Amino acid sequence: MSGFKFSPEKITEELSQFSEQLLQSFSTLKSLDEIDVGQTPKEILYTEDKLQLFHYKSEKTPGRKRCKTPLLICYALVNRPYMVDLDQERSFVKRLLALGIDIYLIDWGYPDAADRYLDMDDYINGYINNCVDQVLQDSGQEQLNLLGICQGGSLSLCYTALNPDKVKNLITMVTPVDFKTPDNMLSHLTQQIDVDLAVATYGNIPGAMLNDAYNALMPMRLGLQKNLNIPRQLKDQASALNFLRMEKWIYDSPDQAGEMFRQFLTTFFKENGFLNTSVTVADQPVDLKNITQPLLNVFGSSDHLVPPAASRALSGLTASSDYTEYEVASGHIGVFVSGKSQTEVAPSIAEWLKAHDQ
Amino acid sequence: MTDSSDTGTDSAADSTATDWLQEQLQQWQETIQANNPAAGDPWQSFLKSIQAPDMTDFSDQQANLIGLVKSQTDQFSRFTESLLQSVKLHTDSANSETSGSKNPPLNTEALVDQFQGYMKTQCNDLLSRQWNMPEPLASLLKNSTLTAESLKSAPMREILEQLAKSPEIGSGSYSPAQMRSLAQACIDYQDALGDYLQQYEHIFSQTGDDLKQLLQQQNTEIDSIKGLQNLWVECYEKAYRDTVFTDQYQNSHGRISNSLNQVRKLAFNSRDKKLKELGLVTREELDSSIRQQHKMRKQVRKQQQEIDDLRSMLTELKSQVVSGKKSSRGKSQ
Repeated sequence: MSGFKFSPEKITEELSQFSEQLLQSFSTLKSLDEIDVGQTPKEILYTEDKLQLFHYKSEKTPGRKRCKTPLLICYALVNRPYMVDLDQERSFVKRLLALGIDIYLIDWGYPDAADRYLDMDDYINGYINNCVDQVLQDSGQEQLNLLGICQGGSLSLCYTALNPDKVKNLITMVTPVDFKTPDNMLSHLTQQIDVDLAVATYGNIPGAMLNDAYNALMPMRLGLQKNLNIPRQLKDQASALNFLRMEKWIYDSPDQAGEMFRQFLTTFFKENGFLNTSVTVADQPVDLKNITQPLLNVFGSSDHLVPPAASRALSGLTASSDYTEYEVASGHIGVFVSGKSQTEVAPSIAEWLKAHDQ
Repeated sequence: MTDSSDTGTDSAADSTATDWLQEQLQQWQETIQANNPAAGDPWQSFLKSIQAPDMTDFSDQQANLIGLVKSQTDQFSRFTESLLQSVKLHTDSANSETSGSKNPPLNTEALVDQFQGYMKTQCNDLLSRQWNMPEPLASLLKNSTLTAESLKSAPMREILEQLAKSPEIGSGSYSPAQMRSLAQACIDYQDALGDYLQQYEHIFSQTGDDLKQLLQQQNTEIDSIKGLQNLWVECYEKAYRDTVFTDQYQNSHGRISNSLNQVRKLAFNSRDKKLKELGLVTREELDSSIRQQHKMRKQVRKQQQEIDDLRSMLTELKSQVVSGKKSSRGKSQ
């Protein structure tokens, strides 16, 4: 073996460099105030239990075409929706607004013990449907565009299949459809979990448990390696703020309403409901063939959480004759926060929406 | 995730972090100066600056990060010092033996083993947090004395086995059946943990083998700890992926999750029993009331839907009646 070329001088230099970074990181941290996220101006249009429905008003630029159909973003129940508006440089929402898209966003809030028995029926036929009605009433339109993110995409597929008349166009982003593709590590790890026992034990599933599950997908990369790079990330204020905003989002994990978690895990992760046409909501079968509206399916080519194949499986499952796939060269979160997202993804979506706004 | 008990957010914890940083930097300064006497000066001003009282003014998130960095830096520092010692020893002995000729290569195998030991300590820490291990087990794991084998032979297991079989146990709040269930759940958890540790050991040793092989096969020149660490992480993630997709790992992962949940559930049940005895509301009772409330809410929503449907039917009927009247009036005229 001849792989190592260590010398006392080199090691000393590295130690010196690391300690300088450490020193700098402490100074940077000391100079920072509370980390702000989700700063784009918005109004609360509707509240129900823990849910808040926000309205972001698009900019009216003379000469720029605006989309008359409003866009409702349905985020996942895990993590917080401000990921689409992390900061002014990384704001999917801000970009869409600037491109003339009026946006409504569902913020699910933080479920507590009172929400223990909320189920798929409550979320889909209750909350989402109420938000849709509020948006339609507020905008004066008969239909809206629905954009579902990750788990929110799965819920949006169910909603559209059950209420096709209310949705003009559907966009799914990093949405799992086939939950049993061979490369889906999260799905593999959940197969032997006794979800009934977990819910009986905790009631609501603690958000920290979900974080651990996500970190378990790449334990060293997302754990030790990331942590050792922290001093480098904190080298100056700008870099530190970028890093800390993302960290804040990563660990801002609401607990999951127990019954909803049980139903979602069983229906999708264990029974692969969309593929096996076995999804039901309040005893109503969810038939994806009811979806005939134009459909844009966006996914990340290196998504480790929802592998591309899991999203691509949507092709052919609906009756839409206008189905488009859009592969973004990024990971799960990069689809929303990367530079590419700001310069390519948001403009492409806005363009697609405008093209389907007749 | 960080352990908040370890990182703390109050000023006492912050000042501990500051003390630690000061101590750490002083130690490094000595090490660096011993190897490079010209490098020490910039530290003096910083060492003074961190004594300022406002250094303790950190938010929760910042305090958590400091805790994380502190824990990893401690280990990084220890490893670097031991590596520096090994490399210096090697260089000194090579110099005295070959007097001036080029140094022979370092014993890579020994260095990889040394590095594995360093990474193991950090991984064990990570693992104990991921699985929320009870403190006694976590401590054993952190100092690498907890293994699949040691779990089988631990005296605690014998005690638990006796408890699980004994018809005599249980008094006061806890019935014999409850105590036996809890003891059995603890045994199951230990077995599951042993099984899981075996998988983990396999991934770890595969990582070491792959790293050695990689260093042999490639003309990669690793001259920094960071470079070595990145290569190690690559090897670990590959070994991990290769293992995670096997049925054996998934069973093991499911088993440890389920057995841990079972222990917790029994512990919650015991707490419920105690609460009931004290005349307080139990978790089960609270749950039952929330379930009822939820059921009623669904009924209200359903009725509201029916009322809305009836209203729209009524509106439609009204308009039909109006238009019927209009048309009959028209006919009569």
